[in-house]
This record gives sequence, C-alpha cells and structure tokens, in this order.
Amino acid sequence: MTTGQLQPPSPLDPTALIDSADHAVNNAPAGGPSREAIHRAISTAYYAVFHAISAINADVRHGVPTNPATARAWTNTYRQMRHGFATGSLRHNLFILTQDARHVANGFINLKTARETADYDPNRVMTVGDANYWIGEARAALIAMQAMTTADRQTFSNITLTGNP
Amino acid sequence: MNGTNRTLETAERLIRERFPGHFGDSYRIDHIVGSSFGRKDREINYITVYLAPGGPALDHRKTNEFDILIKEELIGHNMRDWPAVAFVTQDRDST
Repeated sequence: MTTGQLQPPSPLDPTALIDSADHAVNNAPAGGPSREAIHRAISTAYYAVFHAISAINADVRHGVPTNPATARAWTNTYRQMRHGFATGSLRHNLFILTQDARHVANGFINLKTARETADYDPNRVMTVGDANYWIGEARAALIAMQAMTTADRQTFSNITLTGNP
Repeated sequence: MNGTNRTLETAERLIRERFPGHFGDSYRIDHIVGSSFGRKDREINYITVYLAPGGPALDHRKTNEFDILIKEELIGHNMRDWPAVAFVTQDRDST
C-alpha cells in the first residue's frame, strides 16, 4: 500500500455473513446440514453482529475515511473491540440503554453465549432450529442497529470499547 | 455439567411461568432443553425452548423483550450467568 493514496477499509459485510450461515443451514444437500455446518452457522451469526458493531465503533470515532491517516485510524478502531470485554460491559449497562440499543446489546450478548456453546461445548448438539433462531436474531440485531440514533451509537461504542457509557 | 445448575433451573421455571402472559395463547411450550459448561470464570448456560407445532412464527423483537424480562428476574435472584435462550418450533426443526 502506498502512503499517499486512500485505500478505503473493506471489512466483512455482516449481511453477507448471515446469508452465508443461512445458506449453509437451509440449502444443504439431501440429508440436511452436518452438525458442523449448524454449529459454524451459529458462530458466523455471532461474528456478523460483532463486525457490524466494530464498524459502528469506527464510524462513531472517525466517520468516513477521507485520507490514508483516517483510513488507518478507522481500521485500528474497527479492530479494537474485545469479545469478552464488550459483552461484559454491555451486560453491566444493559438496563441504561434505549430500546433499540438494548435490543442490539441483548442480541449480541446472547449470540456470544450461543457461539461459545456451539464452538466449545462438545456435548451439546444444536439443531437446524437453533441455527435458524440465531440467524434470525442476528438479522433482527442489524435492523435494530439501523434504528439506533447517533447518541445511541456513541453510547454503545463507548461501552464496548471503554466499559463506560 | 448438563443442565442441572441453579441458574438453568430458575431460568426454565421463569420461562414456563412468564411465557403464556408474554406470548399469548397462540403458542405453547412443548419441552425445554438446557445445557451448561464451565468456561474461564463463569458458566455458559444455553436453553432451547421447543414450541408445540402450529403456532405462527415468533417475532424476534418480542422474544428479545421476553429474554430481557427473564434476565431482570435472574438478577433479582442474584444470578448473572444468563442463559442464551433459543425458541424453536418443532415443525420447523429438521434435525
């Protein structure tokens, strides 16, 4: 990458991630999706919301990058959020959030727990129904995100990155 | 641990008690499956609520509100390892 040219950040598209999870679960060959495909889909649904919140964090702090320096700053903030810290902070602040922000936060917290179960509990067999529920929850979180006000986004970003509203 | 901890038991009881008032008569719980395992400093609790066939699709805003209501009650019992709760209608579950 040259230092003088703007190369806009190109993060993963949350909706495309959810679509890929949906496809893996609901367009499987005869016999249905494998257990692995189901568990991966739940994990992907979580990551879709994780990436969407990461983008909010970067947008809140830097807006649309207009030069290489702001593009780097945007990317650094995008990469700043830590899974456990963010969900832990949202748990502590869940009941001070406005309705849309609370919906997003609660969905994100639950998706993380579902993902941990899908990825780390060798004894839990999750089903197509579980996967479709979390895929739907991730889609609903993205819709609620669109309804969040500028102030909601600022508060949400502060909580996920610093722990304080 | 497999679905036997106190948070799971309390959450399941609260779900059964509060569900009809929140969702109405169109939905009925068939059975509930819970699981739990330890990770780092907390329990990861997961619940699937299986609904009887025939009900309309559940709205995610409504299930999210219900979930928050259950969390508030769990806080009242000093329980912080909140379960993730999935709602699955049996006739829409193929595995």
